Amino acid sequence: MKKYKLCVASLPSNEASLVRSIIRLSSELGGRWETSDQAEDADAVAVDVDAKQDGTFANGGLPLMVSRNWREAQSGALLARPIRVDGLIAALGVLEGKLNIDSANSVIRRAKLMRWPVQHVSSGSSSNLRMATVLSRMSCTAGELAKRLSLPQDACERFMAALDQEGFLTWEAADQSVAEQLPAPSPVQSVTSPGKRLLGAIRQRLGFSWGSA
Amino acid sequence: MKEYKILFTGTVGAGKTTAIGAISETPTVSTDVANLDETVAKASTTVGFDFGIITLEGGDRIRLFGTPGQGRFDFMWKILIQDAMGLIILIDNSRPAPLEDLNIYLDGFADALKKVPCVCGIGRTEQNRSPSLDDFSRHLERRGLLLPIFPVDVRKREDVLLLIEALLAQLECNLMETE
Repeated sequence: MKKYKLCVASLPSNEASLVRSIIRLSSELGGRWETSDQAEDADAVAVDVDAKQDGTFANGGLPLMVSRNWREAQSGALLARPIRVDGLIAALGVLEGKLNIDSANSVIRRAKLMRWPVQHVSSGSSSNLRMATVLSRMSCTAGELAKRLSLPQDACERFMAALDQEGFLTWEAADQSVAEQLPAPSPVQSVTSPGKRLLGAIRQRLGFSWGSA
Repeated sequence: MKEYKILFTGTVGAGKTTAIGAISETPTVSTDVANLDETVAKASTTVGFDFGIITLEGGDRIRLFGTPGQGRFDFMWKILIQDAMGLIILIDNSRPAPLEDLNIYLDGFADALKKVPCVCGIGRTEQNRSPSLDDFSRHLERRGLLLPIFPVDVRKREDVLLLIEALLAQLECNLMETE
């Protein structure tokens, strides 16, 4: 029997304990799931959408988005707070289905922005501005977005999940092997590219906090 | 020393001259004359172009140009947009038909929009909530365009800088696509 791992490291300890208990005790899950504190080897990673801290799940699996803002009836890999047994089991079921499909087809999905998300891109967040700009120009997975912009993957996942909830994204299938080949931005390339040097010089001159390399 | 260009365009009274002045390191060179358009409450209006400068480390310069707003000067738009690294469209939301105003510039710069990064700044949104920023976003979507949109008070340097930041984010994407 295939076993799946859910990383619960980003959740508050009381919620992590609750999830561990439900997974251990639920007969509906049939022992197919176990929890982990390591994102790197997990099939799925609980992402605390309400938390503001930078993420540490750059190498994690599929996101299980946890938030007090989800409605109970919402479908997908979303878990509403307060965490309930039926909600968790349903969300894990969705994840299980995605993992099975991904495993069988090696297919992941890329998202692209359909229109500018005015409310999500404010003057206070350069990261959101940069993520929205990339998504307005090219289809990306959260992992690709994170690599392109050198941002934490869970920040990209949270941003994309929020956009998806409000219907700003359109999705397309992508070949996983191609997606994984995207190189991380090279520091050497950043230094030598005239275009990047120019952008860095403008940012530095105008006092922008991001990407002055 | 290299020179680059960012172009500010938009409706009469939207604040192109003020926006350039908010970030230029030199006093804006202006070609304003007395305003004879009674529909716009301002004493003077730009008939040539405004001009400001930002000097980068190493001596390279960003030249900031503001176009005249009136459609009858659209022949100058095509000249000024040549070789621009970015276009900023400023719309005054207190005017009678802001979405139609936006169309004038989207049409006037249609060719440039295929390759030049562009951002829209909407002014006076607090006093004039309709159309909303989301209305602008959907309007662009209907036209097959996806451009960053921000509320802007051109008297505030940080608001103008946000528009520049949005252009830089698009230029960053251009680099990703070519590298």
